[in-house]
Amino acid sequence: MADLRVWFQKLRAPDPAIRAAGIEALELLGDTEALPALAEIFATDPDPVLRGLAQKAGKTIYYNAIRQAVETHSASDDERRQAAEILARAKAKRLQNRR
Amino acid sequence: MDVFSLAERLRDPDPRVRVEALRILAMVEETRALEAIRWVFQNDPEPGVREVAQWAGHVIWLAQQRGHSTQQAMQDIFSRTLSPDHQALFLDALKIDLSRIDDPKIRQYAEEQDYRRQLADIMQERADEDLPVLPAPQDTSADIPTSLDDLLEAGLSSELLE
Repeated sequence: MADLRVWFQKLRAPDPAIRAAGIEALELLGDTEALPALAEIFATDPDPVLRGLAQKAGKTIYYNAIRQAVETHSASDDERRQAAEILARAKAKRLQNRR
Repeated sequence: MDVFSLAERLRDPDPRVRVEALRILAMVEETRALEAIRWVFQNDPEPGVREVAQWAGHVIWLAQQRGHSTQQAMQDIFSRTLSPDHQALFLDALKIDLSRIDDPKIRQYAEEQDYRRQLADIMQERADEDLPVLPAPQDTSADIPTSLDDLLEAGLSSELLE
């Protein structure tokens, strides 16, 4: 996981331009750990433009994460069987190499 | 953060965690959480949390009224292309800030890497203009024997040709 502290610090800057830069960087990094900080901006920032930016960034990160999770868990039966066979072969080979 | 744990966080014993979860759900307009948020609004022991739940429910309800859904949001996000500004920002985000590296060994390694990268960039940029050009060979064609007889006469032994 990337170290997000430097960007979280920017979110607390008095200058709205710096806060905006922090929000955009967090959106690009795409780490779900940024969601609480972005949600705080969305809920409490006095600048409506920044609230909108935070929401856009938060949605991008959140729906990306959901989509990734859905795609990971939605493999077909054939894909699961193939993956299981590959893993079994890899395990057998590893055991063979150990002997 | 596991995005699938947000509903569970609405039942966390710490009210700050419940508020945080409500704010996130409101921000992303998670319409699937409306019922859970309604439950928090009606049953949470903390008045502050109930207030945030009311606000979050309102935000999500408005989104739902304009046709927002989780499925639609995922499609919208993946049909967007990255603007040139975002590409530049993305590249900036990849740059390493050497002053923030605490470990001296890692910093030294990173500085060396940075130096080599800069040197390679300079070499690349100046490849066509500043690098010295090899001098052209002098025209000595008149002195070089071209026929076999001339070569032999110039001292090349016929044994070498066999």
